Amino acid sequence: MRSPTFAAVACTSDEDDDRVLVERYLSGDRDAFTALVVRYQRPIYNAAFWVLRRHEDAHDISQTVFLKVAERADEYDPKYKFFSWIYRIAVNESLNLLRRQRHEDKLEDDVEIAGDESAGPERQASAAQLARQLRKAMMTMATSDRLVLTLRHFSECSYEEMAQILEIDEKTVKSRLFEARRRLRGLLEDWK
Amino acid sequence: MTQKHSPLTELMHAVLDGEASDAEARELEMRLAADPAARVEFEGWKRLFEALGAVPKEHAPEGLVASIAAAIPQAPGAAGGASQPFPAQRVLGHTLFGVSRRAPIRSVTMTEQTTRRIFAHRKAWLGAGVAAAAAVVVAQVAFDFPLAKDVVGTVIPAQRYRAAQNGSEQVQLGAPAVQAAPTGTVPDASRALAEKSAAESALKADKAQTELKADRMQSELKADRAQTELKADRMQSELKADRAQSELKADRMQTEMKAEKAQAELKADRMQSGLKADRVQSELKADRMQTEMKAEKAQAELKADRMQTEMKADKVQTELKADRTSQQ
Repeated sequence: MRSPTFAAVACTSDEDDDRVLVERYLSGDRDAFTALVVRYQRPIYNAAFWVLRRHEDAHDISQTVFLKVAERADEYDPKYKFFSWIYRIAVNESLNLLRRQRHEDKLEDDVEIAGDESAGPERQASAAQLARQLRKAMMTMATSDRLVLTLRHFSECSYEEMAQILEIDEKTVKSRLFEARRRLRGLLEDWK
Repeated sequence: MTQKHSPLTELMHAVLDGEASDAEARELEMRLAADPAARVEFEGWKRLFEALGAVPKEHAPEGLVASIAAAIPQAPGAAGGASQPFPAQRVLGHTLFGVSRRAPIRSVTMTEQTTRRIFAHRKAWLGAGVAAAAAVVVAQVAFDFPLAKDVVGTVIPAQRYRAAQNGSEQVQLGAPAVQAAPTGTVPDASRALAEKSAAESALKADKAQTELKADRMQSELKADRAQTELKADRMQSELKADRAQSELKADRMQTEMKAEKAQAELKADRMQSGLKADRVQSELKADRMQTEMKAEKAQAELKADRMQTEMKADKVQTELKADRTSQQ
């Protein structure tokens, strides 16, 4: 079985396929669950990483999330998207760990904040350079900002799906997204 | 602190997020066409959205799938469990950590630390199981249980072996007198001997069966482990292929972006050249117009001069005519 690319697995994945895999697992097929792990390991790892900003923690949370999902597969309500469900568990687990560790302000060692590299003659940085700067800028942002930006731009979730995952209304989703983008743009302008 | 944002900016975000309706998208188009400042703002947001889309995603570490696959419990409520040597609770250690299987997700007390512990101890549990089975076998071999008459009743399988020991060669037909003349103590002694050997055979058979069972369990465990490893390997190679493809895609995207940038610069250059040419032409036109105006002015002056000269000539002629008339 081929594992799909990142963009294809997150909120844009085939929900019917997921439901079939869950049903197969519930009837005793462990390979079906392994297929779900292969499909969602990257988006779940990314979600955890962007909340926790530490690879080691993201790894641990990914394991916890999948085992929890396996354990509670019979509680999954097929009315909802499987991804929304698993992502919500990932977000909650990551936030819980963050609260316990209280390392909100500590950054991953290998993360450097962009300095003057964007200034100078190459003022009009290429999109790739800008993307690298964005990544660094996002690492300095508040957890709630990182979370909404990750859900929307990396996992391609709709406002409705984000509302489901974060358990807030769509209006709040829009507002939080706007504020996060505005702050991100502000950060980038400060570095120019 | 939140900043109040305009409905127009909100509309821009909705369009860029792909959440706006057709009517809203058209409305934005119209407003952008009429408002250059809004156009500039929209371009800025669009650039940010594109850059966010190009932020490289994190790769899950190698071995993550394998570690999870090795610990996947049997599905809750699933019948059978042929592929899992122990029940899920044992593998996950739920009973050890006191996790309620029916508790809601938010209230689950299994933390990542406990999970980590589970992962760390899983091999130890399996090893302990195998060791326990081996210990049972060793105990049975090492301790020779005493046989006495009072245990005869408990060694029921011995009956089977007693029958087997009386072979056909011992049945001597045609000599009933010899057969029917046993001494008083020999049958008791031979029965005790037979019972003892039967009990030993039964124990041996049990031991063999236990060993067989342990062997089977070990080979099942081995097979299970090998399968998991194989699966993990297969998945990892798929992931590697996936990663390679993603990288290729990223490279391609970068190349495309470079090409787009180059094209945009070319376009800008061309536009600037076009603008320059326009300016030169305008200047030329202006020069030409000025020259024409000058020429027209000069012609008008000439015409005026000519008219004045003609008027003067007329006047002179009139005066001459008048003089001539007065002289006559």
